[in-house]
Amino acid sequence: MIASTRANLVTLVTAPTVWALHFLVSYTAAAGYCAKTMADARVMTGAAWPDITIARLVILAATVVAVAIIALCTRQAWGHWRSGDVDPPFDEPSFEGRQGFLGFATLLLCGLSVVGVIFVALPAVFIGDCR
Amino acid sequence: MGATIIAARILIRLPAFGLVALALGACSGVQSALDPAGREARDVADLFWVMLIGAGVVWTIVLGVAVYATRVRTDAHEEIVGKRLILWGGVVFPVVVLAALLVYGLRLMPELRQPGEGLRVDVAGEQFWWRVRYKPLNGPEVVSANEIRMPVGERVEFALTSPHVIHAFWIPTLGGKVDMIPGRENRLVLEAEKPGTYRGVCAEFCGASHALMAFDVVVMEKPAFDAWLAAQAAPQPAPTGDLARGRDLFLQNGCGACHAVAGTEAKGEVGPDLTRFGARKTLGAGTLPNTADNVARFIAETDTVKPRVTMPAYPALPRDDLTAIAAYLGSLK
Repeated sequence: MIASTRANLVTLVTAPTVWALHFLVSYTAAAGYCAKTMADARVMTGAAWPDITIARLVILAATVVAVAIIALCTRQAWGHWRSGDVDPPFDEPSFEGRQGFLGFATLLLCGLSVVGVIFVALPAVFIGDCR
Repeated sequence: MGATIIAARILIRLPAFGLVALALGACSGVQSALDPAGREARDVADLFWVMLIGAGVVWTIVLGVAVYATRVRTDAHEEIVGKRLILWGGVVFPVVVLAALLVYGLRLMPELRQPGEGLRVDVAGEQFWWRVRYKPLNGPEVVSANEIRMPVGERVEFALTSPHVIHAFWIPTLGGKVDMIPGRENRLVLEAEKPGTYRGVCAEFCGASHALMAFDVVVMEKPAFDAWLAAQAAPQPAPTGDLARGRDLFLQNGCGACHAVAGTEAKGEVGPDLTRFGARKTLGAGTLPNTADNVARFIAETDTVKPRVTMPAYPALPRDDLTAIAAYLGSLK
């Protein structure tokens, strides 16, 4: 997360970037772990399915970190949005107008990103092996 | 004038009636995902109905709001009302509905991926037929083709492969489709819940006769299935009389180079195994009903019946010989 007293394009894309990185970590954790363990396990011969507790813990940790960063982003964006005394649609060519617009857009993106992160993590809650 | 208008209206509506009839026709039958006879198909059909009804409710609400805004109360609403509508109707409602559907779908998945209970069936997608090999836990392997039999109430594990191109194995009444990919072994577990005869198809375009690549699925009670499987391994009596002539013609014409019939010199593995051909309901992978006339026609006009099939046609065979071979094949039960 980029801490900044002013809203800018970097603070705007922080939350979606965290969402993308969380997806990358979750996907590679599950796919990589299952690809490795499944290569050895001969499931068709009656062996048990490899358990993926480690991959699920990695996803859990990534989710906690991602939600925490997005929460901080949200707090900061709330401050940027509320800093000026400007109302929507934030189209005045002024500093306050830009801060209001960027802050509010960041806030909405934070909301979208936190939903995205939770949806990406949900399969790890319900699926406990490589099936 | 009035009659013309009525006739025109009927003409306009005819295709609509046709479409409705077509749609309703797909709701039942041996190959309908909406008429489930297996556990996975039932779960998927339930999911479909939940989503269809849910989509209908959402559609009705959206149209109702649109009608309200454009016909009932056309003046501007208070700003706070608009904001609440966006927050609850545009943000909270979709997030909750999508989350609920995601959880519903994710909860189904591990259940549908339970391992099999013993019987394994290897199925390979050929062009354009199905190579089937039963591998029971106890007992010898049984080779078959273009028909799958399975016991009711038992999870059967299918190992799906393909030697040439991508096919997809789909028995809509029992479960979802799974691709058969060269170089891979995909796995599918199906549990039939109702005895009966169903139809499976290739669900991935695989060549000219893709649409003629189907198979019968016979779901039997467990004791009947066990008896059937055990009987498959037993040798068949040698044919006599006309049937023996049919067998000799079958061998003389080189059919055994590609087809196998257990207990004879025919040991080919290129084409479908014909050891129990007479017991199958269809011919040419679900292409024609398995009658003697159709078998004779298939041998003489193979590429007409089934375009681009690997088997060559034998148009030069005398009618008598075709009939004798068809009778012999029909006797293999």
